[in-house]
Amino acid sequence: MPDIQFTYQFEYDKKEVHYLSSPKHRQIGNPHKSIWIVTHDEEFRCFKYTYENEWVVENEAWGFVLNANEKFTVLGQGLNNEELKIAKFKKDPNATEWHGYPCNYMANTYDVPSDIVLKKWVELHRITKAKMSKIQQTLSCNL
Amino acid sequence: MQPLKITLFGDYYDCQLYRGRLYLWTFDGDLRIYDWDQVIDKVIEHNGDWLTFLYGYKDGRYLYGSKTKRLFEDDEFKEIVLRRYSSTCRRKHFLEEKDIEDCIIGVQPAPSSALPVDTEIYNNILYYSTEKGLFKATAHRPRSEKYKVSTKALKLWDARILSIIANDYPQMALSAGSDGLYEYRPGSNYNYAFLKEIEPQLYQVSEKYSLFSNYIFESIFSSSHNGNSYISMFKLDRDKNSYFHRVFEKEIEENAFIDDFKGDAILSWGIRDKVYQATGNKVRVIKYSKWKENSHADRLNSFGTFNLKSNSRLIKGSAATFGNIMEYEDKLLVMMSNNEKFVLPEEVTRWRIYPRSINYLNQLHVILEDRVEFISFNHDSYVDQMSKLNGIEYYIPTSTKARGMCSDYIEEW
Repeated sequence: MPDIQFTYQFEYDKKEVHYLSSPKHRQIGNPHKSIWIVTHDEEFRCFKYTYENEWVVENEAWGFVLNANEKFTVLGQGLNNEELKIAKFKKDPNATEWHGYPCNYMANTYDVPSDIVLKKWVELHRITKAKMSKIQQTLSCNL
Repeated sequence: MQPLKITLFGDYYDCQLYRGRLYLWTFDGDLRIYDWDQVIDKVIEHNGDWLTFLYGYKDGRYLYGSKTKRLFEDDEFKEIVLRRYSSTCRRKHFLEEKDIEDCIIGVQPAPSSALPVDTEIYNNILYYSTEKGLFKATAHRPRSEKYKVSTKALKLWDARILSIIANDYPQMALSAGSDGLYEYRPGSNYNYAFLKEIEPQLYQVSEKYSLFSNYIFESIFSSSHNGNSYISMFKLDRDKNSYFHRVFEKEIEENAFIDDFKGDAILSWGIRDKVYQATGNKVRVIKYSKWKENSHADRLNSFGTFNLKSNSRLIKGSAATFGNIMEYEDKLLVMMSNNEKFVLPEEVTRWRIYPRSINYLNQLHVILEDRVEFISFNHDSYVDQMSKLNGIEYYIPTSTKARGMCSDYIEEW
């Protein structure tokens, strides 16, 4: 079955935003990449929610999805089957599309959300100050 | 003997206590610096018990000092002290920012305008890490200066540093997560053999993951998730002039700390003379001995265990003279050196201990959602230092030379 890419677009702030849901982060058994466990559409909705909330710093963004109980949803699995609840999105400087993956801030320091984004999450009461501090230090916190 | 507690309400993110100044980072981006003795005097004004607050918060060294130790061991004096501590502990000591407004030495924007990942003050310099890297700025500046911490910070490195810990000597262990473990040696010209110099005076000690770290005498203990902690072992070599130089010896992984390791550690930490391995239901205590010339004895030896169960996840640990401090996702637990427990049953933003300090070694400062708790433990001087499981042995460097910028070790080490 060929790998299928899903592309999406929407308008925000009078600009077209493009998103590519790549198969690279859906290959079960890939020893190097975390994988999405939500659908492509849910992945895109996560990105759109992230972008429209302006949880963006230059060409990177971090986001999450809340369930009906206002709790963080599990978006993906890490290399050791960890539950991942934060997604990271990137846009290469020369590309038009954004893409993303469920990120493991505890395993990779480059996946830690920007402080600007974390602070916004605290101010929106999505996470506590204590959780922000733990995420900054790559410590486990019960999101 | 439960600890003393002073509560300051406010929205804080980090704190440091250094040479009589309390540094408080606020969540909205300020750094507030207070005269610590004056803050304590405010509490004394309202509560009248100068004795407990003097030893509890201003001069913790007198709890251990040889000149006062005999006084504290006197039964009648001990009874007076314990009665006054007990009475003071039962009272609540609350402060609001307006109560200590006249204790302020300075207010300024936080260095680099950032909420720090970690901070450390050593030799009047503030070292701090942000998502942009590792920085240093002169701190403890004269009161005549507009900014008590220099606003002209120097960037030392652009890696993300999760933890900064200074040793008694001018060495700083830097944990950089998946980038490994590093050591910064400010003011040192010594060429570290076997270690790669990444930036001036900054050396890579290990490529292995390092979540947080601390010094076990001359070596570094690096903690990691899921039983992957390790010790970067150093020893002292004598040069032709008979001066000792600290050199990297080897790396010891978690499964080799002790002979009967069962692969069940979920988190380990080490500081000074103790290493702790926490499993699901107990903590294994390992004694670490300083390197000694011509000695081939093992530096790591089993010392005991204590039971510890929790429903939540243990995420960080350290130790002070007064006990073991363990941070869980939803609480902070102190296993005191007299085997009593102290629990803060709340999610913690940040906690600080000051084991290198002479005056503040008995304190634990905890930043919570709406306040900071200044907690003072005063039981440890009554505990046998050699046999206690929880907490590091009380120790002070034998020479002031050891506390200076000396890059060589003295024979006593």
